[in-house]
Amino acid sequence: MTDRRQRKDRFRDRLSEYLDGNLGVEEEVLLEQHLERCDDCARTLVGLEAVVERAARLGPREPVEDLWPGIAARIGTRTASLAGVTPDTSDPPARRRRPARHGPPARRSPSARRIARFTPQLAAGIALVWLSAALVWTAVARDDTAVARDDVEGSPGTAGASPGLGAPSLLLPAAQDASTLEGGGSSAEEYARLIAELERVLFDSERPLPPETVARVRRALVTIDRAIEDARAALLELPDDPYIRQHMENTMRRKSEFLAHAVQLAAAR
Amino acid sequence: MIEPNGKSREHGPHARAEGQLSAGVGADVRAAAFGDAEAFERIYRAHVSRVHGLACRMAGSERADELTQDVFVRAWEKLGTFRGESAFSSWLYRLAVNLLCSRLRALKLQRERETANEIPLAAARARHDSIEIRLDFEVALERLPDGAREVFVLHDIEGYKHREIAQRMDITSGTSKSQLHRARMILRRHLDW
Repeated sequence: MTDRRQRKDRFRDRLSEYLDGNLGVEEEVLLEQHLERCDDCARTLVGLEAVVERAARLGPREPVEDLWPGIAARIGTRTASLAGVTPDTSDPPARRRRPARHGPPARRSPSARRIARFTPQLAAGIALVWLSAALVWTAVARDDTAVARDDVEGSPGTAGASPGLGAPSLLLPAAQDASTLEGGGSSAEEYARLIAELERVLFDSERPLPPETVARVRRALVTIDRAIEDARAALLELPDDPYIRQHMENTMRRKSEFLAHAVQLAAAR
Repeated sequence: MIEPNGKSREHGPHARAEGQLSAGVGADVRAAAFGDAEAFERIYRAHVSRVHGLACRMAGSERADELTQDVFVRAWEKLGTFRGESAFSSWLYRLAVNLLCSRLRALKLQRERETANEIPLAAARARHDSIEIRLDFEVALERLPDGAREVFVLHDIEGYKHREIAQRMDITSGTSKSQLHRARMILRRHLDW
């Protein structure tokens, strides 16, 4: 019994090499003979193949935060993002190319550290501020001063901040989102609403973003959306599981932060 | 894309992204080598997601931003040594892999996290892990013990051979093979495949 077990373990330990074609002919034949008799090892092999296949499909991962400002600072240039801020060309190129400082590893940029500390409530709050900036941007672009609404009085910081901008109805549900989130309500739904608003501001604007920026944003969104879809599917199976719910909310929070950042960059154009 | 082992790996999102971006890369590399930071920013934007993905998977997402920045700073410093004998992307990713391997070795992350990582894995098993980890292959990947994770990333995602992995990680080919098998077995178990 023990011999059989050991023999099986020996074969099992070689399954990865078999999968990669790294076994010698003799070992390969022996293992294939074993696989015909052993369902357990055959199942394991199928599982390993699935892992390898899944790994091969992994795509790039866009950082949530734009890392360029930190790099620019370290390589000794003040060149700002291509996303819209004016580059500083005051230094001649030869002088700008200074070696990076040696010493401790690069620290995250201050904004990256801030993002890392975000609670969902704070994230929603920040997103609102960005959303306000985007509204200013879209309203100015639209040159439309006609649609003033009175029903934003109860929304602190929005009515006062955007007199005559028009269409601040966009802010009202988002402002409610922030309060709901504070109360620990259905955050995923609130994030979903916030995300929808941010996407509308970002993609449906009358002052469109450069196509390559839109493509980059959309590529990143595909990855995030895939994670959200997976989480949603798992929630359908286990709707009361707090871990999955938390995962879902975290993923949606990340998406809203990413979108809010994109909106901010767009508004700065 | 030319892989470290010299084989072409023209599939998947990397290949598509590179195909779209290759036209201007040569000019940008030359300009950046002469100190043009804007050209270097374009290079950064063309390659950041692949480098960041590599850093996330090898070192964990909490260190990925910092290490990605380190890779690009190192690339900026070393641009003058790029002779154009291979594709720029191959040069950059090789530089990234080398930096990540040496950084992880220097920080002794492998040994520190070897034991620490067993805990979340065990805890995950105790719950209905097949569902929760199916949520995200990346999450399961991050929970692998360090040595196993790095070998898995380099072999199964980046296409390196055991001999090359052994060289970079300062281990034997046999260790690389056993770590790869270990990683795959853990992922298979946790993904319930």
